Amino acid sequence: MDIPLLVVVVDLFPSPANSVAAKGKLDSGTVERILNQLLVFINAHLALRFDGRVAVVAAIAGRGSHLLLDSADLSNASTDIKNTGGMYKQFKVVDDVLVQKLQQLLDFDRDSEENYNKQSCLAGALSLSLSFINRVKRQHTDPASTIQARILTLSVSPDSPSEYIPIMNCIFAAKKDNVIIDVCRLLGNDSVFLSQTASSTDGIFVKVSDVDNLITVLLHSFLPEPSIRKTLCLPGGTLTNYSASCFCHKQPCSIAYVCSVCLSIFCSRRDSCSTCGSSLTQQ
Amino acid sequence: MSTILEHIKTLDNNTLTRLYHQPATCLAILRLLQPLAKHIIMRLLFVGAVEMPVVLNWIFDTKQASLAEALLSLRNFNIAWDENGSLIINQVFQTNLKNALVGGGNTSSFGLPTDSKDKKDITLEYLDTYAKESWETVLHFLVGTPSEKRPTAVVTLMEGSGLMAKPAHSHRPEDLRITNKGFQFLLQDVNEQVWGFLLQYLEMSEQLGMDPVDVLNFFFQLGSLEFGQDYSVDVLTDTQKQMLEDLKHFGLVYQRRKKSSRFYPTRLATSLTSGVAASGDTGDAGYIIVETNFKVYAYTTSPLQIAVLSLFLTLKARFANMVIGILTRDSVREAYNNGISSDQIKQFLTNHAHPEMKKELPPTVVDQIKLWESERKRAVAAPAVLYQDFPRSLEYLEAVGFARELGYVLWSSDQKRMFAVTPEGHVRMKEYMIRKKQQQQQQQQAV
Repeated sequence: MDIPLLVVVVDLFPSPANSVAAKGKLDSGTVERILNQLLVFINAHLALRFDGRVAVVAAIAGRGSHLLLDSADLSNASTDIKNTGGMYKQFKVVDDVLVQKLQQLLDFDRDSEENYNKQSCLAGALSLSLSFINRVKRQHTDPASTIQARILTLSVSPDSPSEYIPIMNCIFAAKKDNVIIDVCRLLGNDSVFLSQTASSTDGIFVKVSDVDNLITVLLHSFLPEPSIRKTLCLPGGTLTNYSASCFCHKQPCSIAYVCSVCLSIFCSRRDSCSTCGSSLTQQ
Repeated sequence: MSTILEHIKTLDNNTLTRLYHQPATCLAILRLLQPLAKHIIMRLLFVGAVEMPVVLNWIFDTKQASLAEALLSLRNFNIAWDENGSLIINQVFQTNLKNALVGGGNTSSFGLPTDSKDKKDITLEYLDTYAKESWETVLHFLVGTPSEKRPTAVVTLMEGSGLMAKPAHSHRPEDLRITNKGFQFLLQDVNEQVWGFLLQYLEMSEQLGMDPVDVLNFFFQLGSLEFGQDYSVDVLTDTQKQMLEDLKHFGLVYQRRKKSSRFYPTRLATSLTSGVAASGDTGDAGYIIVETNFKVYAYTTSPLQIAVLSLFLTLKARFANMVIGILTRDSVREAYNNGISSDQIKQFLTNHAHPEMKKELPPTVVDQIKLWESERKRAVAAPAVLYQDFPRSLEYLEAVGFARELGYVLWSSDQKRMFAVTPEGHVRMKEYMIRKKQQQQQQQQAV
């Protein structure tokens, strides 16, 4: 028996310089709409199986990544269980905890404008998710079942070149651990890094431009667990841009110099490799 | 678990739709369905209807068979069906599953927690002990340990389910004896046992004129409750209040007094639909050590566990904290005669294995238990016709070769020049023998 573990990485706070937030699209109303649909999706995941488990990691520019919620550890939740409004109690508690924690983070963040200029910390959030998955797997002692983990990334922030190498490392770690990373790209802008992430970990990459339709996409494409994906026809298979980024300026490049020792990529010719220190001068 | 689904399948569409008025039931049934069916429901949930060609496109062409299967089961449960070329979800199911997911509608489906605080503090440990004691009383009654507590609900259910039976010409309840079915029952894990009883209860409730919808809803509601929380009795229907009274005896729920307005579900109840074995929490940790020399050491003082062990063990010695027994051919064969299977014995020993044993039985013992079982199946009886007294080896070989070619041979012995064929084969063999005889006569005449 596989126990499905879903880690949702929420990355909703892009730097305003070159992104949609500057144009005011990602206002608090939009965030709320996205969040509401995410809550329904999380409940749907928990509804499918009794032993289903969900964790949510928030990646906030300038504030680092935070593990907001682990559905297996809700002991300190302060929900008023009398007023679940017809909802299943577990769902209600999960929702309340998530909303509360996000609210705290957002309130803290709202005043300081300079936070918006910090770069996204998606790689950090992915690392945190993978570490969390690893911990859950290690703590799981029942030999009769295994943890089947996957990550869903809800992301709006643009690629930040400095994250290329950390994200690549996350991809390799995820592949080694058999963790699928799905990517749901909101507001429709592209991300080279994340489409690479999805395609190399056998995940799905979907762009959603209409935020109000998010729940349909989530339930259709991202709810099916890996075991049933062989049966269901899911979106994906779009051409992935596999171009690499150079290690010196972190810019994507199509032709580059490669270190013959450690395979680091440089956009211009160098005398020595900055990663492994090998001398690259011609003898 | 699958049996409750099978039972629900047999209900007619109107009853099913009435059943789906409770969000708790919708959620529980969703979780019991096969994975593909779950996803189809989820995709329909916020849409309501999808055209059939689109639905077919959801699945890879090579897997269409599993789609057909999933659609059939949704049809059987009256959850979704094909109408005018579209797949339509049952609106009642849709509304109430949505309510479970996002809130709204009936507020007491997942139980209504009481407003006031209980005067007495009911701890989790207390509930666990209560559940364990009540359940063991039931099992003790089954194995025939004398005790004063014999609620009628338990007695009727035991007899109705065929776990116990009265000998012929006896009408006194004291004469109830455990049946083969009862022996098998003892070796199941607690969750299976509880469901076994509940299904029986369901069947009997229909005879008593209780509404099956009410009964089923209450089962599923129990499964969705929170362990350790007290719930209000007031919102229950009359049928459910009656059930509360009955289920108390099995330790599924706790109610301090009969008139008390609150009840506590125990772990036996809250783990009902979760598929997680309740035994790990309510029962003891493993206590059985099996050695490769077939000796079994059981660290237990419970007369019930000893009684269950004696079903397939020859008990040798009993100490203050343990019993020693041996798995012998005779003891295990007796268990088989009582209708217990080798898998059940194996399962029981594994489930209750002492932590030191690391949950793996000695392979020699497992193999031997299997062999003892297959030993009983060594001889198979079948009507047959025996052919013997062939004058020469050649004639025997020709005859048996002919029969073997047609697949009629049940048994043969080359040394004794004998073989047995099925009755169907006998007709053909007779024709063959006559033909042979004629050939021989012709040859003799020719000579």
